[in-house]
Amino acid sequence: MLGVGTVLNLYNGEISQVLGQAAQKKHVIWLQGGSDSGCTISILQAAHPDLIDAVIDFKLAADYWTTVMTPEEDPRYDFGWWSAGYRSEDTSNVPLINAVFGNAPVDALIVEGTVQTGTPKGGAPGEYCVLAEHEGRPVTMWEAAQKLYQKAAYTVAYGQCSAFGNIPSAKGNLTGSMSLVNSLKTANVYDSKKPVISIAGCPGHPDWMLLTLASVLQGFNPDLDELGRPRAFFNQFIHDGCPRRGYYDKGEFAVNYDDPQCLWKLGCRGPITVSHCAITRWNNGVGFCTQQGPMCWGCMHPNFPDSPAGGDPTQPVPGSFFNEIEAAPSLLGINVNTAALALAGGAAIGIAAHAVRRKGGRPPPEEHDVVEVERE
Amino acid sequence: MSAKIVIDPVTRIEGHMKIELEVEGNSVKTAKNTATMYRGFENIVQGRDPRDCAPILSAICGVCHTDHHLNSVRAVENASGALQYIDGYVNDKTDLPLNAALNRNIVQAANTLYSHAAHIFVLAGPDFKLYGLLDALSKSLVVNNYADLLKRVIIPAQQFMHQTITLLGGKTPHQRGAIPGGTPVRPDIAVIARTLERFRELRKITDIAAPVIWNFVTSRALVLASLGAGTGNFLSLGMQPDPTTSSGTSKMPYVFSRGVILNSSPQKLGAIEPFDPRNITENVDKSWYDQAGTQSVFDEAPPKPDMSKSGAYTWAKSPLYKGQSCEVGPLSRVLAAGIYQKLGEVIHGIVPEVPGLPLNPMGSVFDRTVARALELVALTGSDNTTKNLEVLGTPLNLSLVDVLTALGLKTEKYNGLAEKWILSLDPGAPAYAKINVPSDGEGVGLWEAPRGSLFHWIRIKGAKTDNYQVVAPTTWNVHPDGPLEKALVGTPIDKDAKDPALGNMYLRKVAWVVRSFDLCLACTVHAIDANGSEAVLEFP
Ligand code: SF4
Repeated sequence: MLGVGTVLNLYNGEISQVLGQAAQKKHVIWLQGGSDSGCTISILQAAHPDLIDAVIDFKLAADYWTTVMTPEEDPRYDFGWWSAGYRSEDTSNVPLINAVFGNAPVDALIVEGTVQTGTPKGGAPGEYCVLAEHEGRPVTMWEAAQKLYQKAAYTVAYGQCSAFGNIPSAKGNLTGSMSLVNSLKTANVYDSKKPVISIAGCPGHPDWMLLTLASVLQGFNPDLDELGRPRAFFNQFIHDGCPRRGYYDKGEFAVNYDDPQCLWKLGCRGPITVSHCAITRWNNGVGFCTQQGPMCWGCMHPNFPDSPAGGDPTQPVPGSFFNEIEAAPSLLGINVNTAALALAGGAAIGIAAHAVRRKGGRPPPEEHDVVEVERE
Repeated sequence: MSAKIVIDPVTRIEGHMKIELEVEGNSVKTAKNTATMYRGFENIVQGRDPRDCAPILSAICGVCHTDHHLNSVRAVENASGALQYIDGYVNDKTDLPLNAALNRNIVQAANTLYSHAAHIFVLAGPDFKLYGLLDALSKSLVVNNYADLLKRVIIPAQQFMHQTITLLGGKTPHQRGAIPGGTPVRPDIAVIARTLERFRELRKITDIAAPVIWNFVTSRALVLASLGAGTGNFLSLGMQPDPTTSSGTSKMPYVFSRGVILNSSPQKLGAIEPFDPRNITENVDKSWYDQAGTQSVFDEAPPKPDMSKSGAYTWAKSPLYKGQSCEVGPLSRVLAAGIYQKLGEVIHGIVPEVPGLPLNPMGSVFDRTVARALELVALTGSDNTTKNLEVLGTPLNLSLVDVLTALGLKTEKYNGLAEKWILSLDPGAPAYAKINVPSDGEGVGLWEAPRGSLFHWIRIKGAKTDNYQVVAPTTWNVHPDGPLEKALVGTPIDKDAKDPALGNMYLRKVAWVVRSFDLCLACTVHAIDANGSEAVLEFP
């Protein structure tokens, strides 16, 4: 019996064997809440596997996926994006409505974007984001997300918004915007035995998403960390695999943003941000931020864009991305009272270890133990 | 007797969308579009370091994912004096290194190309049965069905462009290749070669697909030109500033010039006039915000959401230029630059029945579609010398290369605009120059995203963002009483109509009109008839 971690790690030919065993179509609903569609665009960039292989090999039936569904009658145009009978004049066949209120099967729910739980003046709770109209009333993202989470066998929060709240939930927002998990908790429907799987990142990496989706649709329970991220893709700091690491270890730091050295002093978040960016890289592996030039902005960090920006999250105005992280006085206090405690603690200790490393020139052996704190 | 059709959800660019049509007889009598999501970015950036606005505002749109980032950087550079709008907003002057100016042009080209390709193939394509591409391509590639077409043509085409943006910006969507002062990506030989290679790969695809699409669309020119007449006002903030003239970065003329066309009539396109940002205002009378009336975009206090306002039906505000509602997008760009009119003269010289371009001076499905395809080819270039282009089914005896050459977009030195910028990159030379962001000041970003004009404005106080204003392309096109609502009025709706090549025509013409604005609109349709009973229809 394979665990999903194993499946994900096996991906290299063998996974397709496992996946080839998929017998039945799997029904997927893709919801977009407070999103910018960037994750939908990102999934089109999937390379290993690409989206078409995923749909065919994994037998996905994307019953509702607004941006990419094809509305054609010609069978040459139909390859499984839509199996529900949209062409009928029967309301019960509207794929979204039928999934939320009707009997349509939902194997997996994918959520892109935040869930807005606030109440606009003159509106109803959640009415900052309305997905559709049903029986003459608006269906909010918040309502649809609750109903579908309870119905779906698996729920994946794809992208930073649904995983951690991201920019739409940042300080200053007026809409009660939050991550999927927090919105489910607010509505008292979250079941800790049915965790939301989080593919963090702005956008979420498409290859990680499709592999995770493939795994859960075949019935494997992913090996997740405390924040719901599959460990297969979130088990080291970006800094650990950065091509500029040699400069860091020598203590050579970029002065200008287009210099080739380590970008730490200019604000790089690689040392506190966990993901496989440096391994998978982006867009069919052509590169990633610190390889091409930009520093890591921490777009996968649970508190992006607020506290990883070197500021005190309790203050009204977060610090700048352009501040060196160590220069932020409150860094070690990030999020002490929040759910991200484990990670922030690990990150903070990681930073301390970095400080030690830079002074000593060589990495102290304990550092690896410290990194384990984050993993466990 | 009138009936009501509600299309909800409509997939959107920024904000979920609903369209309500009142139908009388066999055509649309009134149209109302509603943006059904509010996120409030202008509130989120307040109080932050001005340089931090770019990565935050980038998340306004994940489709035009490079442009909000880039234009926010430009607003900060303008506040710093490093970017100046000179000659009455006609040209730009920048203190940035040449490599930085070129990087931004290439990234803008790549983003525009991917977006146009996605629109032409994935979003609008199915409405036109993919322009007969399946048949055309099955002869040259292994393409038997839509899945093959996606896998071998459409997905690779847009991936090449995303890979290019990653090479020049770190990752994409949401590249990080622009910061105030330039770009952190210093181009080396490998990056230049890999970027060039990807544009040339895309060209192989567009060289095959573009003539097929062109001939399909121009064979239906008369029908498509009669659909979707907009406001007849066109606005472009300028695309592809050229840093390679003898003036270098101290005076960059725009290839797609910045300009405004107002007061066109169905017979005659209005005159091109220079743009001035002080003429932009915003009206919120029909929008869910607590203010009323029209005010300048500068120093507007960010409005508070309020759905209780009577008469309001959308989160979109109404941006206006000299009090008028303007269309933005590829058609506005090629019109403001005069490129489209020039193409019309070339065609008129060969096929006298074609009076010139635009076919409809108020804008139309035809003109928007052709303008988008023209930009696609202008940016990518072409190696296709087969004289296979037609208009109204009449051979033009012109190839894609002939068209580009006639428009001055292909010369001996370069092939298409993207290639021009890539070949001008200086390997290893700086791409960033330190600039000082003032602790007090204001700046404007004028830029074109694939779907049209993008306006950013920042006020900085005490080194913090004090006020910020964004006017996004879709807002220009979909606001109350705006171009899309106008364009829908009069659109034929015939439940029983069939087309021999296209099949069921019921809502197809509505779909053509809506999608001609590139709103990323997809499938499901709710229809509510006059008795209030609900029906569901595919779209179309
Ligand atoms: S600090 Fe940033 S640039 Fe430097 S080695 Fe770490 S991840 Fe790379």
